[in-house]
Amino acid sequence: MRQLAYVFDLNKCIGCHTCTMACKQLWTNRGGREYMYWNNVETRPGKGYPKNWEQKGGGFKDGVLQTDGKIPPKEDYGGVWEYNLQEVLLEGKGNQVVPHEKPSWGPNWDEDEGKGEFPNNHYFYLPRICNHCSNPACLAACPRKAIYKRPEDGLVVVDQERCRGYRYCVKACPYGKVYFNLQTGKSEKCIGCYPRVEKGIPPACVAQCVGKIRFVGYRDDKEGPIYKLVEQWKVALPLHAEYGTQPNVFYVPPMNTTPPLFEEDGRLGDKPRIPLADLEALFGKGVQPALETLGKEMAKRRQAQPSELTDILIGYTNKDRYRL
Amino acid sequence: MRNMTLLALVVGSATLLGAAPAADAAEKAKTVKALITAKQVDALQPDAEIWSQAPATKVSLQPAFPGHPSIVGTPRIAEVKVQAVRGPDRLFVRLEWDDASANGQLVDTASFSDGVAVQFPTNGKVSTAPFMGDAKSTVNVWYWRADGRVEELIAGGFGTATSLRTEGEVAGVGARTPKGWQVVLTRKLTGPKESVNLKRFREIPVAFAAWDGANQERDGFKAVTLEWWRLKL
Amino acid sequence: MRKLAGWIAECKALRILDGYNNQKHFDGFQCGRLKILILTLIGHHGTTGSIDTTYEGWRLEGSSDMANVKGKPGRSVSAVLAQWVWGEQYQRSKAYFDDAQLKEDLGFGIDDMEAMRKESEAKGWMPKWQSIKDPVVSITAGINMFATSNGYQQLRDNFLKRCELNVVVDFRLNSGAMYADIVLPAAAMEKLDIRETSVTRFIHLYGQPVKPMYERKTDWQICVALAAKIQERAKARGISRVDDPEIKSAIDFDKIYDEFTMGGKIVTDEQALRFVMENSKALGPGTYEELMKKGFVAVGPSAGKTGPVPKDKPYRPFTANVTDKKPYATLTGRLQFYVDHDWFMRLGVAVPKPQYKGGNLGPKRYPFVTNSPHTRWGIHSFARTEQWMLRHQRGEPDVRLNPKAMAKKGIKDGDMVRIFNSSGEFYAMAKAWPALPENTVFSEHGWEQYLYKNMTHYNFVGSELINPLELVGGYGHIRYVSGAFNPNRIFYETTVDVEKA
Repeated sequence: MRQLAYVFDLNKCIGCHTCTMACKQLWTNRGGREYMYWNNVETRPGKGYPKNWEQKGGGFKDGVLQTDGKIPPKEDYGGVWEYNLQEVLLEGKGNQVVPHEKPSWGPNWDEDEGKGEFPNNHYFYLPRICNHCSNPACLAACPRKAIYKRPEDGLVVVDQERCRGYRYCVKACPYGKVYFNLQTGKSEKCIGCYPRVEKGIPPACVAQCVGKIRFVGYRDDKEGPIYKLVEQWKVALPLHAEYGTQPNVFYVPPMNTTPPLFEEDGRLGDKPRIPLADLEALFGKGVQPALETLGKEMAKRRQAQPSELTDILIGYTNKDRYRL
Repeated sequence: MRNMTLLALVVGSATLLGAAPAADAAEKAKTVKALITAKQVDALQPDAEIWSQAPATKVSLQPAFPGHPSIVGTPRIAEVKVQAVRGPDRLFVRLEWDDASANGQLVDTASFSDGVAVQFPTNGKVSTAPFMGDAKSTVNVWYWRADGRVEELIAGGFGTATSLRTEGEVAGVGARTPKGWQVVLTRKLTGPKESVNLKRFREIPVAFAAWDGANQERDGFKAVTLEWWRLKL
Repeated sequence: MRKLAGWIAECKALRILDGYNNQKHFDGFQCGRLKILILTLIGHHGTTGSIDTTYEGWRLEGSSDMANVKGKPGRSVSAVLAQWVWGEQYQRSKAYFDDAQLKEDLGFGIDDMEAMRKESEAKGWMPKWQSIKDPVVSITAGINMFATSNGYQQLRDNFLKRCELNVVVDFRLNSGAMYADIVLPAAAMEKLDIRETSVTRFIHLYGQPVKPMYERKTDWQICVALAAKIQERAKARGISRVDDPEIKSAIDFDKIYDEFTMGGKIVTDEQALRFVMENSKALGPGTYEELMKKGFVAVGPSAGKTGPVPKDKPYRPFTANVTDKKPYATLTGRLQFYVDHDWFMRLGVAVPKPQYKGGNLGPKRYPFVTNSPHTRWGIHSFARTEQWMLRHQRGEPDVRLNPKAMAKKGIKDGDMVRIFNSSGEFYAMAKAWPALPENTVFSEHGWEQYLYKNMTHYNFVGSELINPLELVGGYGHIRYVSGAFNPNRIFYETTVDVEKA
């Protein structure tokens, strides 16, 4: 059993959502999937998508599948607003193009808000996909074994023939990454773009990333960026490892979000803008050593000394970032 | 709290003609007696005239064995009133039960439909496990959901229910009442080849299940008859 | 600031890339001079770095050849000035700005500014355009000219009074099309069109992911078809040459198609594109085919306007002057930071320094300043109404405010608010944004007018200011050059108030 895995470098994510749009246009802009964002990007700190997903429950505790998870209601996924462009622009009815309902929540509602006060507020972007976990809670939760892991790449997929829309998987996924299709009556999720992967092409969200923040490859590929960043350099960390699902998406935590904090008198201080505790809450105790390693290697480059780590993270070409 | 004994009955609207004592006996015997008609009869609608003549049995329901760690909670429906009409080549089963809120069309991601189902052992034998059958002896299920979907399924144990995708073989009509639902499920006595051939039997084990969508009931989270009842047809 | 200065002083290479927003503040011009001065003082200018503007562009002779007819110079005009006059913006600015405040800050008020404008035009420092009394026929492509100007409604109302035929060319109904007599449908993605910008040496082919629907034509096809029709009608009506003495030129209406298509040589998109590429020294024969195959092609060394484009190093502007010692177009032939032009002296900026002591030039009676930089959720107004874009914001136009400022005004996140001053108002949903100073009202740009309540718009609250120094000409390097030195659209000297709507 091989396992594909991903690294997202949060130092490079600019929150442009091109990844989201790539997935949306390829898979989910139709057929009952309109409200689903298999890939989403959220501002942290923030409520995320679906809203407050970190409080939805599910996952494992001490190896036991938790059955208290919630199925998020539609309003937590945010509005799927439709616009009366035709009426207003072509039929002369009304004088304002408006959404069909008053917006009150959306998948990116709290964009750029974060926490804190000017000039020391902080936020960063967290792109999320299905983690294609090695111990998926969704798979464990399905009484019909309608979810399976592909042996060739470890991608976790919902069999649309077997699924009967019970949504234990939606309850069980602690990341809120399984969704219910109201049109088909079945549950769906990110498929890891496996039809592309089978052709050696990276997933759409990975390939379209403008900031080149994404790496994809096999966990056992010692020459590949995943192994090097996760196992060797240990700068890429799992999200909420305590959920117990063994996720296969790893994040390089953001550091040095500029500018540093301002002191009272306007001078720049030397504390990081994003509190360490915020990052540890997401990525665990590996954050501090990861940031120290990153800092050391970046300092080397400022002295025009070579650094294998920064070369990997820059990811100059597709070949460097994608190893399928 | 739920009463697990056979006598947990709610004597509701008595629309049956002198049926009460007979009903008690039927319930004790766990038997549903079909009204047998020699001529073709139109019993598809829950308010069809024929239903006032078919004997009614109150079937008490209990929580199904979960069958999977995911399935948690207490299902709400305590009882379903069952009638049957057997025509020359077709069986009708009418089910009526209380459910305060109608949950039909799925309107939200966390919505589940109200539903009811009738289960037969495909081989007609009481030795078939009444909990969705097993690998060797399957069950044949007729399943109505309040959004209008009707399905015929075959199952060989927990988590194996498979829709037969036979359009129009099993039909169903549901009607909403102030207190709950009235549903008729019907099929020709001889159906798809994997299904039970009811023509072979004058008496066959039968089981029932009901789901309250408002309680997020679905799959094994349901109220059922934990043992086979008998249908005399 | 000190830290930034330290980094600048210590760095091994420095490139300052100027976008557009700086010049939307009144002191954008002086900032530009200062940046060049900084680069020069630390020795990076024209060597290990330089200033670069995103629109410097590459030298492509084919493009200039195609755009000109020999012996018939074309007209290049400052839209800021033309729209100031046609839009009667003087009245609006006079009513809005606090003249006493301007005089104290800048040394001149609106009347002085208007006098300097007239003086500049009279002295011929700006290109002549006044013979075009009114914009009788207007053709705009891919833009709502009212929305991209300041004082939207003022310009719109007065412009349309003067315009008899308003034609808008776009592939969608942008808000400008609401005011059009005729909309010419353009092809959205053009198969045979290229994009060049000096921030990269690669010229890209647009490509055509979907075929143009219905009657859409490419920009080139639209122009060729218009020229053909005009020539045909001119011949039928016996109209031939019309002189344009203001610019010492003429238009031969009965030859306009022949001239436009170079005698039928560049009629199709492919012919036009080939002409540009094959007749440009930086590209040349064979590059069209390469572009079609790969989707991009690199420019050669002669493409740089201020220095050669090295094969294996980044392009650094102004190396022609510093390394190759080519003289600058200044009075001295060298970099000139001391400008003793009358107006520069009068306004106290003979050397690069701020023109005023800071803050905002809008009237102080309004507590907020406005900012409307580039939207993330569209390419200008393109895709601004796209449902997936809107679903990733608030679904309708928003303005962002500091949470403390909102609290003081009793405004909650999600409330509809009215942003206003004496010039105008607009409505939007309030969004809390801790990244803002308390006194800033932030709107992304590019919103279409028809998305706003009551057909308002974020540019309804601004009023025009023209920096007289940007009207100066006839002084060495300081003269009007289209796309390089001309009056800027100053949006951000605008103050407003906000209230719950």
